[in-house]
Amino acid sequence: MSTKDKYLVIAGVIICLVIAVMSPFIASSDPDGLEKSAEDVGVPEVEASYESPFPDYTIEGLDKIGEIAALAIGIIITLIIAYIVALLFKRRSPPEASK
Amino acid sequence: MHIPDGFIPLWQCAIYYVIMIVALYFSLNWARKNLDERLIPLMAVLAAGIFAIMSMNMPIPFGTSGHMLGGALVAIVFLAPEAAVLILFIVLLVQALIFGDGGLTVLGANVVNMGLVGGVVAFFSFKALQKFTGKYLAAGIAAWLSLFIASEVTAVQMWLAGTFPLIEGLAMMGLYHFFIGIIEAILTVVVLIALDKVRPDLLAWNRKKNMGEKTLEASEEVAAK
Repeated sequence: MSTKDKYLVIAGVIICLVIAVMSPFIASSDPDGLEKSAEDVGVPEVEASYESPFPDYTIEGLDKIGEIAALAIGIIITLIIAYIVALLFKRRSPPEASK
Repeated sequence: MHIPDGFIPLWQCAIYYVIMIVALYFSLNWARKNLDERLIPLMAVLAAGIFAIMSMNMPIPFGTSGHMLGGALVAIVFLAPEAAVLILFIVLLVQALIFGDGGLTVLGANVVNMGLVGGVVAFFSFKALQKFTGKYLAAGIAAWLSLFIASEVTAVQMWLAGTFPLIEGLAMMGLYHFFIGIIEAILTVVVLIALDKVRPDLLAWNRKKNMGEKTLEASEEVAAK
């Protein structure tokens, strides 16, 4: 990775973490467009088929800190997975060789 | 607008999974042909950024809220809807597996509406508008359209699933996402302007058809301006 790319990743992660810190405080807790539409037409809530480790971006017992930590964990995991996927499926051949 | 488990019957979930897998096949093919080594960090950062921004629900009128999808941004940065499908798939998978946001059975349906529909609509509307309106206005409109149409496709999915009545679903989803789309458009344009300022070489619209050395020249020219 070039220095420029390192800066890109660092700057990107910092922006993401700033969002993660602000989000639990300023994000609206109103239902989102789909949930609200579902309420409006009277769809009953359904139990999820599967128990996730941090349901609804919360960590049990921790309030806002837990939300921030859950988001930070998610950001890092997403970053790593996307990096690995991109690395696995990047272009193999040099530009001239590919048609 | 992550569809939760239980909103769509399982046999329909299976159909969306098939569509998603076909779309992912094209995405991976695209990556094999076009994803330069130097674009890997950008891909990772965009995925993390989309994960983060999706947590930021902004209040909109009528007691509801909405968040950016980011599919339009990815499709325009890479000028490839395939990239949007791939990144949204990764983000939605993490959200479903670790945070229970959007169900696992409906992962296919969520990737189809947010990634595939969002990415394809953004890409083609950007392409069509770019010449007439300039790239930033085109990107803004494309982002708005991609979110709005993705939400209407979700309404249709809900109708096919028997969860929403068609007209009411289209009207509600359309009304709420009309406003969410404005947020999506603004953020998409802001990120594009920022990227064009600091790393013009990473934006596909600054790259010429034949990659390689010309890419560097082109990006240096842009940087010099």
